[in-house]
Amino acid sequence: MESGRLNWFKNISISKKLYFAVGVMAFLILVELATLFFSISTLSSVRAFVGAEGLWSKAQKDAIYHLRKYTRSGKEKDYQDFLHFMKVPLGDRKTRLEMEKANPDKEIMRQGFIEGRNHPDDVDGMIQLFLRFHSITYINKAIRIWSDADSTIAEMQITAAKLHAAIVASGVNAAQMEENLKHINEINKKLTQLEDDFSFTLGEGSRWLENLILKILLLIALTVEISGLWLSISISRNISKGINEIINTSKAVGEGNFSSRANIYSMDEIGQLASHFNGMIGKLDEKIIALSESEEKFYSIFHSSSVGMTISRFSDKVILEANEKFLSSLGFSKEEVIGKTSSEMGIIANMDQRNQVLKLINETGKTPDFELTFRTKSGALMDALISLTVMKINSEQCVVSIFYDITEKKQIELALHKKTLELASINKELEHFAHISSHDLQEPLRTVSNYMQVFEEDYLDQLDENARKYITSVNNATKRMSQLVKALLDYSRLGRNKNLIKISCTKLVSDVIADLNSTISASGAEITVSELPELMVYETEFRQLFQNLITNAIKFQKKSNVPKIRISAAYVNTVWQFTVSDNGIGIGPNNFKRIFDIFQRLHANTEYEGSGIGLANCKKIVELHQGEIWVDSIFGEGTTFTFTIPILET
Amino acid sequence: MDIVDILLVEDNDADAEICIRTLKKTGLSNLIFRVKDGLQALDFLFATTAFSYRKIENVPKLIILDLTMPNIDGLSVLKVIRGDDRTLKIPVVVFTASAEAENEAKCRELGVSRYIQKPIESAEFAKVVDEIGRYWLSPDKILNE
Repeated sequence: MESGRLNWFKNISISKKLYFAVGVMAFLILVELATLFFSISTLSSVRAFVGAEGLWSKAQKDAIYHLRKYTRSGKEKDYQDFLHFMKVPLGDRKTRLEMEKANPDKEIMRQGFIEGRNHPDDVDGMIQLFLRFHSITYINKAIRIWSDADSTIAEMQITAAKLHAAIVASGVNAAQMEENLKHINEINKKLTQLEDDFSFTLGEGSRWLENLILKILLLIALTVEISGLWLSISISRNISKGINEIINTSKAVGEGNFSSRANIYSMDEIGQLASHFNGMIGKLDEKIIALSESEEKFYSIFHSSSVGMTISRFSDKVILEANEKFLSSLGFSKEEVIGKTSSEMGIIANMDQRNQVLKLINETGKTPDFELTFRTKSGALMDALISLTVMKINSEQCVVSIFYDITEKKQIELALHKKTLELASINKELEHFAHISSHDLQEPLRTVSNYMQVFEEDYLDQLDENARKYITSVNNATKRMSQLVKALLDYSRLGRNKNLIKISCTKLVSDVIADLNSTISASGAEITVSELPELMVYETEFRQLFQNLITNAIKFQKKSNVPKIRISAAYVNTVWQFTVSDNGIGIGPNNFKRIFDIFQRLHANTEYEGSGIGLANCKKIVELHQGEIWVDSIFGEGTTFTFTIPILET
Repeated sequence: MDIVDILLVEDNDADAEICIRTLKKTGLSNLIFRVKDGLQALDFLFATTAFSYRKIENVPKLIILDLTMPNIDGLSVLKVIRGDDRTLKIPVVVFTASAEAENEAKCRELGVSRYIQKPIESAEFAKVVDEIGRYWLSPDKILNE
């Protein structure tokens, strides 16, 4: 139960704790002040009582004096004086009698005291004192004494009344006078005794009260002190306990113990601080674990990597760590490498290259891939691609170098380059051959053709039917061959005069359509051309490309069909993609590749005439533009030729 | 043989035969002389060696010149005739199998009147030669010059 209450106190904020402590103290001081006020007013009333007793005694003594005087003189005036002084004890008696009632009327009490010649300011305090303390022994006793004194006063009154009656009746009698004086003395003696007792009792009560008040005040002061002290100590202990916990934990963390956590004793600001502090250490701990894991991973990758790797110190470039691949590539053992620089090891074939790399790493902290020639332990040269990065490893500035042996790659590259050159040369030779041969074939062919002409002119009438038929066959064959040779020559000439210029394809296609006007109107073909781009092309060849494709689209048609041709272009993956579609006879999928070969014809010359070189030309023209050409077709329904033209620079 | 309308410089007999036949068929001229190479052409034009009997002033009205020939080729012949005042103004039609743009450019530089590629097929060939004859030997043409 206690811990529950303490927990509540622990968990409020420090400022609230301080307000609470100050509040408790202020309350206790108020209590003390109230007590003090009460004590002072009570003591003041006691003083007033003592004063009242003095008045009472004096009045009683005066009354006795005048009674005695009356006894001797028998003068009415003395009796009246007696009665006058008797008013004081009688007034006080009135108050006492009222007080002893179950429900005393304060006004009557007040009146009594006033009659007893008490100061009006003191009256209320005296009434309070009576009412409050009448059950206290001393006050009780004092009241009893007062009550006794009042009965004696009553006795004295009766005596005085008898005396008055006797004197009024018979005057002063000497013998009687002695007797009366003796009786008055007795009463006076009795009253004096009672007055002493009363004063003594009241004095005792007053001392007791003073004592009591002193004790209460002391107790309250002690309570204020103790509770103030307790609150201060408990608050400061709570604070310092929490702070010490954080200090100790931070010390432990500082010494590297990241698993330690501060205990949380309260939920106030310090508790929150401790909780946040713990959260911080937790995150730090996670980071450190992650860091050490990543370091472990780094080393594991470093050692198992299939590329050579070293770590060297940045300041002097001494190698601190080298992996298996690096060692095996260069033929060194680990002991021969660690603690040396690459130049000390003699693995650098070209010091200029090394200096260049070092300059880069010193200036920029990293290098791009760099080709460097190394010398292995056995003296063989090794081409390597290296890249260096400066990074902090174990809080030391290091250079991580990655070596990738490209000797083999370079050899392959070299061989490939050689092969490419060979291929290009063969290709060129082939083209040259095609050109020369087609050129050289022309002359004999022309000779045959021309002599056949001469022969026909001079000897036709001497020949029979058969001979004429043969001559026609020879002429046809010559004609066909001349077509082939011409086609071959055109093919070999494609791209001979390379001159890229920017042209509007829309205009070029409309020019081609205009050129083909007679063919188009003869076939009734409908050609739709969507918007085409402006491009860098070899104009003559590009024109021929469209001419061939449009001509083909018109040519390969069923007799009754109206050719419908669509030409469009779209920018797809950095290249322009052109399509020429028709609704012609179509091509079977097995011929999709074949149609682009030179002199490949799918149809008899009588069916669709041609040299069979048109699409080979198209392919060559597209390839000249570094593009690709292919065909999609549904047999009997139509064909779409697609070719790509990249953006070319002059 | 001294006065000719056309000097045909052609090494190929078949080509020469068709040329002569075609030109004669047009009926514009029978005065055609054929030489077999560049050397003979120059001898003819400048009346040297075998042609020393000729007078240089009797220049032909037209030279039909092949390019690819033995001894001296057509281009060399062109250079010589364009370098000599006496032959400078003779119209020359180059009639060759060569489609080399380079050759054509050189010939144009040397001021040839036409550069015509020989068709392979005889009918076409004859047609082209006919056109050459009709154009260059027409009376209008001569008057204009």
